[in-house]
Amino acid sequence: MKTQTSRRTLLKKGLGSAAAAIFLRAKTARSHNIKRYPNSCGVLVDMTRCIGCRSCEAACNAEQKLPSPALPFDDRSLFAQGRHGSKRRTDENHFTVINRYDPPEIDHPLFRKIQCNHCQEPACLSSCFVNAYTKTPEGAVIYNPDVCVGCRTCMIACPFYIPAFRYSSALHPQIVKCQFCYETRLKNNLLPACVEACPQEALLFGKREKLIKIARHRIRNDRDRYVDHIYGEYEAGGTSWLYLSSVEFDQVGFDTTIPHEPILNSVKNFLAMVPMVLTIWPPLFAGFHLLAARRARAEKTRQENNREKADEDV
Amino acid sequence: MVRVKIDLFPLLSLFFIIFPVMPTTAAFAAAVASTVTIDALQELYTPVDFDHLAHAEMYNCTSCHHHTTGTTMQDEKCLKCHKNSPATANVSCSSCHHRRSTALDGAEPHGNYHIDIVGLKGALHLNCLGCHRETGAPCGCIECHDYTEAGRKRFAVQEN
Amino acid sequence: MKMFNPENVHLPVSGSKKNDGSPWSFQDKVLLGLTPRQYLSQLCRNRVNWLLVLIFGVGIPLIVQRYFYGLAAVTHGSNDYPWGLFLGFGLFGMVPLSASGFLLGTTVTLFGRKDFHPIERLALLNGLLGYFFAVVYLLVDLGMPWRLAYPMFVSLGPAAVLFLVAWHVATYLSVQIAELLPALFEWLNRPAWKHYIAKISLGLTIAGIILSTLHQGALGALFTYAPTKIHPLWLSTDFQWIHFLCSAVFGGLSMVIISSFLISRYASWRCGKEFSSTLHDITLGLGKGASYAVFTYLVIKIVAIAHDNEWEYLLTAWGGYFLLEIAIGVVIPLILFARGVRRGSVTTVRWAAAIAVIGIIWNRLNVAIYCFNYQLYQEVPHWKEVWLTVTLYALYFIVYRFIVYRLPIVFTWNKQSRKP
Repeated sequence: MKTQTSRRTLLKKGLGSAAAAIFLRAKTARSHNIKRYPNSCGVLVDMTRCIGCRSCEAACNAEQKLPSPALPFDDRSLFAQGRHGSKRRTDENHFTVINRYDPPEIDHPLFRKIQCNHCQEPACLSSCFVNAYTKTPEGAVIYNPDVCVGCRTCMIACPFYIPAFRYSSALHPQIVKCQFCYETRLKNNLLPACVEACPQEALLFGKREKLIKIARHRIRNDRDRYVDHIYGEYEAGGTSWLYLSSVEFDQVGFDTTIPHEPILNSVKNFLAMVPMVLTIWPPLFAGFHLLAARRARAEKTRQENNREKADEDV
Repeated sequence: MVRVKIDLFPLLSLFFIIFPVMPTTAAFAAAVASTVTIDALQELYTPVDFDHLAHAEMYNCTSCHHHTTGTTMQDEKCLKCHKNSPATANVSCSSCHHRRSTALDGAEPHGNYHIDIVGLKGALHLNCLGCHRETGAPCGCIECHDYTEAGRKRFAVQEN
Repeated sequence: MKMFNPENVHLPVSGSKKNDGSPWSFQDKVLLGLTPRQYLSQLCRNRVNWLLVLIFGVGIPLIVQRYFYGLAAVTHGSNDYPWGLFLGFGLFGMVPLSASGFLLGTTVTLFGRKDFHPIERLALLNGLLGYFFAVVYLLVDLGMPWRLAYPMFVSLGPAAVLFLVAWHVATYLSVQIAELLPALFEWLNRPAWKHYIAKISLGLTIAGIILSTLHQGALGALFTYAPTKIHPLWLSTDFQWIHFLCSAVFGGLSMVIISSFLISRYASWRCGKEFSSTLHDITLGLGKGASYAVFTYLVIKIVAIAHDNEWEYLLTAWGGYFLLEIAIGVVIPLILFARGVRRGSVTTVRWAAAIAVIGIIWNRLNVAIYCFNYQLYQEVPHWKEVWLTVTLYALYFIVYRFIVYRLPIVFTWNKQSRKP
């Protein structure tokens, strides 16, 4: 009787888990292949053109209604700042930041603009357990602050160290980052604020595919000016923001160790294992239990028989 | 498609259309404007009073312009195709550099040329600053054009 | 607990009825059969409580500060190190040390090893409280803890590893509560209710294995989202979840060895005959299991290095630190466990367990904080963050002690009055 109940439990559990596994697999499969939008937009950042005027930072600050900075935007002393020996980074009050680099082989400084790179297959999006992030067909990676719990996994996952957390807030401590001006501009066919403000056209907005062609064109036409690499074409599975530089990218603060595949790929090993555990574990361990129970019962019977035998012998 | 929302350059365009012809040295002084007022980006900066004459005396026309009127191309890259092209009729920046870069129009690029024409604001800054940075001429934003009230506010400049 | 001397033979409460046959009142059960005055006086005499008062005296204002002024008030609020001690220790450290529940549940209920039965409830309690306090740490760390249920019901991101962790920890918490309810029912004099739990105990145990395998592994897999940030020696994208799962096995066993030792040593008045008499053998048995797990862990750690071909890293400074962690956190416990089991020395096994527990926490802190951003600067947690972490651990200790003193965890509940 006992065995029967176990079997039934086993069957129920097995079926339940199988159903769960199918459900889970369907769900995970869906977001494993994040839809790529061939017509999405991006920005080509030509660092050989940037003069570090910080007009983009000022424009972003005004557009996003961020608090006034401690130092005015035309104060260049800021480039020397940075905590813990690293350069300035994005935080709750700065969605984009310009940093100055002085590579030894050229006689003038280079400036690197950082902001969300709006990945083709965003790690932040795939790591978010409340599905707060969206990749829009226009190319922007936006988030929904109304569901953000503040777990900060996206900050762990972003290989570019972009999402920032509003640590100073008690009531709305949540993730903030560059949204590509999606709500205020992109949706209304306007240029992002930083792009519009750039006097040097170091920021070029357009279809990503076309920007790559233009970037190649620039490299081909002026081989002395550019290194032969478009940063962001493949990094982390490709980003909407692309960069051209006149020195090797690792000399101007770019992480050149970022794999050329989406960050999610390194998590897939585990995700693929989940349905297996869900389906194999219940029958496996229920089987172990049946074996153990049977052995225990056999042992008991044997002992009883021995005792009876002994009794008879006496 | 994406539209650029910069209120641009009526005067500037006019200037480059009005003073395109500089055929001979004799006509030079008469033909070249002494001062040009560039009033792009009026939103944040005051107009630029560009001393065109001084620049024209210091440099060749081709230092800044791709071509002059009535002559053929000089740039090697252009010559590949335009060796036998007729003399150009128009020297104004804005006749080719429009308000927005060609990256913004919907057309797919054909071939490798004329696919990366920068917008007018970019062209002017790249041209002026490109030279200023090399020659040690003034490079700061407010050395050419001062802030307007809006610019002062945008850049959070403290009033003294 | 010097109150429980031979003169008070009827104490402590370990059954439904007093010696004279009258039932214990609820207050008696809560106050361990002492009068309120006696109870209070023994609370004040206990020096451990003095220490706790000191910890809470500073810690409670800090908690208030955290909720009224935001996380920046008690931590460095670093955007580069999003996860600090609350998660590095509280979540990633507490959860593996709480694997005891599913391990002993499996051993006793599934494999029929009744000889481990006397420690099963302690293992379950250790598991339940560990998980519960991991959630408490999470509530302190989350930006908006009041949205804790969002991933469950409001906005679901099912492809995320953390989604899996959230659901599994929540489900597994319920499973563990269900597994421990019999102890509560006995204490509340409602033995009949146990019947329902007993019926589903096998299902609960199997559910426990599945959920534990997955979320212990998932905690490791969370770090595979940062393949460029964590030092390669501490991150193997292929093996990370197996490393975390395997180390949780000996982590959980070691934690039960430690906690059963502490209880038998400092609360011997509470231990039942069965528990006390079998603890020696059980500890050796757990030590044996742990030694197998430590050995497996060591092997797959090496396999991971070979798989990713990271041998050259071992010659760097980081490699030295890695080898130190392996030596202290893995090899020494392995040797001690093996020697202790072979020579039948419980003391050696307990030392091994203590070192293994430290090794696990060290490993998790390395992955989450120290070797995270290994190419950037090093984050040193704010003293308030450290103090808050200790405060929450002190709370864990108090709840643990409260339950062990009262519910039939390490003793058998006596339904009848005890014979004098």
